[in-house]
Amino acid sequence: MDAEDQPVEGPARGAVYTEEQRAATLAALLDIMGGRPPADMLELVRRRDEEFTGGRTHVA
Amino acid sequence: MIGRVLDSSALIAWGRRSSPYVDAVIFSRAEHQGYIVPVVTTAAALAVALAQLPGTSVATVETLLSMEISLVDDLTPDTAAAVAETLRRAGSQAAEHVTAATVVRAARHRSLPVVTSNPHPLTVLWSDVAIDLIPG
Repeated sequence: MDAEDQPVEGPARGAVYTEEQRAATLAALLDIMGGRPPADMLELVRRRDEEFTGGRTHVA
Repeated sequence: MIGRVLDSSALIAWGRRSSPYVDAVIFSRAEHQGYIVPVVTTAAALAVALAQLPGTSVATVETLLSMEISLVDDLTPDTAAAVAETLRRAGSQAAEHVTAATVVRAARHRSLPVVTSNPHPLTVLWSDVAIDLIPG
């Protein structure tokens, strides 16, 4: 097996993200950030996601 | 939605709480429902970031990396060959570009963009690496 083909460490691509994990992660982030990020930054990220996926969807 | 690779500049911005854009990248991955959209970094990038952060910021970085969405790639004997392949372009300057090479390797391996405020060290090694530039 080539080194580049070695399994990726950590959660596998598309690993299940439970609602409990999601809630705990968001709670920790909100605590650090002091609230949601600014709407204009979230919108910029959303637009860049679209550019990077270039038609691909739901690629983890 | 796809994941992101964070280089040391992105980790420093996160640790310093200095970039709403980096916050938004991470928050939007964390909000995604159903499956993990990863936030990836490398052990080398982490070391570079931690070296430049005050102790009070270290816990902020560690909290991020403990989250389900986070992955940290190690540089191990198994991954050294792939990193070296990326590093080959640096030639005799290879030793100075190891951190960037681990980040590029993480991005290439997963076909993910790199969140950074300093793309040059990355594009020197791989001109096609997708850059998610942190707004100034």
